[in-house]
Amino acid sequence: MKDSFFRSMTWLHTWVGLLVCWILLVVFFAGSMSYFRHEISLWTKPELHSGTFQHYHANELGKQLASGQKFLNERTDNARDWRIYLPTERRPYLSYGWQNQPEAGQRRGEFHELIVKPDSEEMISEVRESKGGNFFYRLHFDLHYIPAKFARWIVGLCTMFMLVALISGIVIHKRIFKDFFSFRRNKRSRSWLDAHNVSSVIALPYHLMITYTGLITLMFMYMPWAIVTNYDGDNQAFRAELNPSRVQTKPSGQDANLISAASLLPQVKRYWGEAPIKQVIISAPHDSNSRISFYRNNEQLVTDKRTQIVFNGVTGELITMSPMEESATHATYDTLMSLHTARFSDFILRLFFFFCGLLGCAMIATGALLWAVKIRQKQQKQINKGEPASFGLRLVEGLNLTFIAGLPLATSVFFYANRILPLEIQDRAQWEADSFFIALGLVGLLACFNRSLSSWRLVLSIGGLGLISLPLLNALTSPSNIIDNIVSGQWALVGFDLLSCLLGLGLLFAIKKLNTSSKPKSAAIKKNTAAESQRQNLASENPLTAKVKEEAL
Amino acid sequence: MTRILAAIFGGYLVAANVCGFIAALLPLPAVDATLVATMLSFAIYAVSAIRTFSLPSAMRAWLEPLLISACLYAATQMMT
Repeated sequence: MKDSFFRSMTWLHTWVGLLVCWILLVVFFAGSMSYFRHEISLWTKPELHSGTFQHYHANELGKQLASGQKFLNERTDNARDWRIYLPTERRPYLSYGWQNQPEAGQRRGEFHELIVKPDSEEMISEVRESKGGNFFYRLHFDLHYIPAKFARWIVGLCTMFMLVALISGIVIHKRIFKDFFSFRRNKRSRSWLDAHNVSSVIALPYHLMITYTGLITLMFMYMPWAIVTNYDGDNQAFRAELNPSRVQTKPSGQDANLISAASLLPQVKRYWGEAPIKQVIISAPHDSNSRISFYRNNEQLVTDKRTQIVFNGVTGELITMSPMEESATHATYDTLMSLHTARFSDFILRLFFFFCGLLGCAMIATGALLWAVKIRQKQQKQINKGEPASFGLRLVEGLNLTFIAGLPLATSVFFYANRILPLEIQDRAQWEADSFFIALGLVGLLACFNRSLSSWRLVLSIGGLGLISLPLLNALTSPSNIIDNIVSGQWALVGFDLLSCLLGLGLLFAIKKLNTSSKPKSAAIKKNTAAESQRQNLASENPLTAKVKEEAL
Repeated sequence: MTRILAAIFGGYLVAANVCGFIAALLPLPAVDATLVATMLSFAIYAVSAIRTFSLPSAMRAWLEPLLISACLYAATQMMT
């Protein structure tokens, strides 16, 4: 290999990082957005913005369950299951849903959901079709347009590359502490390296955690060998032992009378006390093997498990419940899973994770740009003689423009499509997703012809303006604007508007820096974008690093 | 190039076999042993891949993971 361990690690870090950095950027970005999955979903359905908002009330529970069951009984015929979603902090509305029997050749039946207006029996059924936050959530590990299983292997491999890049990055870093407090401006590639170091080191624990736990979320698919050893590869047997309360019973096909879910509440209370309930699922209603499951809202517990109690839907006897105690191993696994999904966290921590995710994007982006700047410096002599830059360099610069500047733009296009596309078109939700990729494709097309400073400026400014005007778009195309939402306490919607404004301003700030700087093109830009996400991070960091970075920016 | 292949495939082979070996070795209930082994396997993969690049010759980069895997596989088979 190279002549020393250190040299070979540097080589490894460079290539392992560069080869997959654009996919990683998409994955990181989509993952950061997924922290606000429910909030984004709420925003993309303006029909729910007024007259649906309600808090969880324990004393209303019986009434809500009874009317839900009554409604579903009248409305559905031969449904696979019924679901009653109770209001939670992040989904502040009551809704009734049901899943039909799967059609031939389908794994899952069609799912329907209706939202209930507070204190009435009225339903909102005219909700637009949109993937909302689930688009980003799926993009995070299923990518798009390719089979999910294949995509998950690609993402897994990229994550593994990322893990190796992180470890080799730490190894080649001689002076972590010293570099942390040094930032040299306007020194071309040196500044790039510093920006890369700063964004990496600040959130290093987060990066390591999120990368490793990311592998853990799909680990049985990537590494089935322990199951092969202990269970002869019988995945189902293993899962049944892992989560006994998740085992599904098959319907028997014989009819039986369903009891009322509300009548089971006293029993639930006996086990869980006053803990809020998130949802109730009645599977195979009117079948002798019917099951009624209550799911607890775990609130701030660091756990990713679904705490549930399952009753027989005919006799009402308790069948199984999630154990309150679990083995140390299982608890560890559970904690690692929930660290990745952050389902336990309240809004402040969620925001902090989101910015750490953006720092991860900055780390990946600055790394990619650093490579391009360095190689361009190497080739500058030939380029000055009038020879074209090498193909590899042009490719990397083009991909950088497409993904680094294009992602914010595509995201704003996605939200515009959500509000502007006609409500009645076929496959509306798919069109929203398509617009995202069409926007990305257009930036890619631009990158084929022109990768200069002006392209960067154009793409960033459209993206930035798009994001800044999202609150305005929301005010025009939904029943309530940001002021109304503050008054009615719909903080999820307020937060969405504020955050998109903040990110848009960050992009515009980057362009402003770009116009005043005389540095080589990509360098200037990305440093500022990195700086911008760091700047946004200042609020949520300890004063010492904030101060150092303020000086650096 | 051959090293890259050795890192990706050889590394996975080592990780997979370590994973099976630990799962058989640990004196825990089967579920727990499976969880521990699977959770650790990615760290093994990373270390193994990095080691591939620090070995002096490409030959060794292939030989080592194959040998380690063979030993572990035999040990796992003996235990189950």
